[in-house]
Amino acid sequence: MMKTPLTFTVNGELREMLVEPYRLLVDVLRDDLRLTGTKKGCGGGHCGACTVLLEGKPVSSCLVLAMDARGKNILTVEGLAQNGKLHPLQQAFLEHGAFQCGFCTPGVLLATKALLDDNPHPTEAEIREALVGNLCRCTGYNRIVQAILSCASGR
Amino acid sequence: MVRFEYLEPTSLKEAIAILSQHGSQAKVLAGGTDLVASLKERLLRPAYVVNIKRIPGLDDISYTSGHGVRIGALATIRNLETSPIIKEKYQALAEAAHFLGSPQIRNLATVGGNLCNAAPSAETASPLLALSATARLAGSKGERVIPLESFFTGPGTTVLENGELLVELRLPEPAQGVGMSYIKHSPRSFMDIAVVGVAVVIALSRGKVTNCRISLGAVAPTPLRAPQAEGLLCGQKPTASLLEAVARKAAEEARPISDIRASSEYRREMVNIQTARGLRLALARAGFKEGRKEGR
Repeated sequence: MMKTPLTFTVNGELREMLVEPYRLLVDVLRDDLRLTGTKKGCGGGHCGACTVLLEGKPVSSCLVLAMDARGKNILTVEGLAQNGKLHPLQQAFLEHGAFQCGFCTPGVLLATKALLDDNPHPTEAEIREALVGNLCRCTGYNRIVQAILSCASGR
Repeated sequence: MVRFEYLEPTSLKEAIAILSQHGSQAKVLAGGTDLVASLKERLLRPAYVVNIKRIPGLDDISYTSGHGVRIGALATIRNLETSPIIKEKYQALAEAAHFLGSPQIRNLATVGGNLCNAAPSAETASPLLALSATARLAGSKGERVIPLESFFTGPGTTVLENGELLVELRLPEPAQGVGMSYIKHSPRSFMDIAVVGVAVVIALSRGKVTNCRISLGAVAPTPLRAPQAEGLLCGQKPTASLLEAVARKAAEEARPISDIRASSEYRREMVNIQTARGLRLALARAGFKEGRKEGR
């Protein structure tokens, strides 16, 4: 099958590549760009492990054709830390023990960043609603919520 | 994953030409939350996937006071959830949008895709029916506007002809004294498909219901109005016993099946319960206060 040129911006950097039309965004990010922070969980858009920010909005990258991201801005978890310094959310997650196996964590961090960009002082209920698309089997969510609350009030 | 050719028309005319040419060999890509999942599972195997999101002007939500709102087919579910005008004047639709999937799904999924996928449980369908929506369709023979009731023909099927696209929905200005609600009955609070969905839109004037529309989701081959239940309430004072009768009638009008999510008996009873709750909520929002004396 014919590969087509594809250009989009990932974590502030313009990336150009050749992809077949049936390739998914999650696979192009992981396999072609070696950005393996974005995880594959359910493959059906339910678990949130594949969450990336597309034009600032959280989406399930396992349901997005790579070609559909042409010319768009994408943020993956690798784009959170700047100049070797952790994002405040990442720091808060460390301090609050908000991850165990870490598989859901990239998706949770990005969904949370989108929430806080939109609503800097969310209530606990708003945080939990923003995370309905991010399943965590390890933590029980409470430390995740505490970490986010600490960040929200600190801003 | 199915191997397909990918096309990106940049105008409605081009999209219609492509879809007319390829017929059932082509599938429209809007948000992709249904289509891409199906392509990955190989449930659908089109030769062509036609991404319509590069066509400008199909995602607007524009309201004109006195005339109502026009919602482009490519408006995302997230747009419906957060739009100030939808939240203020078409609250049942914003609430239904809030209960569709997750933020990650809502940012991709479109109202057009939700309707064209035509699941009987489609979240936006019953509120749109209750809000008297019309649908504008565009194809090679031109455009037509139909009531949304006429759009659905069965589970997963619509009246869309070869090469035809749903481009816009129109909702009239809500009536004076309107109150509305959407209740989704599902095991999980989020990320679940409705076992029963009930949308109620009523208008109240001087203690009597002047207009009443009740729509049911997930309890028939298509999203469904409940006209007999509506007829019981229209023109009447909404007494507690009348509301119970209306809810029971809506349950009678439902045609649910038993499936993995619920039995038909359970669905029917939940239509009864949730229609009663939806009516009381819509009435409260319309300013109805129980126990008011006669003549007020």
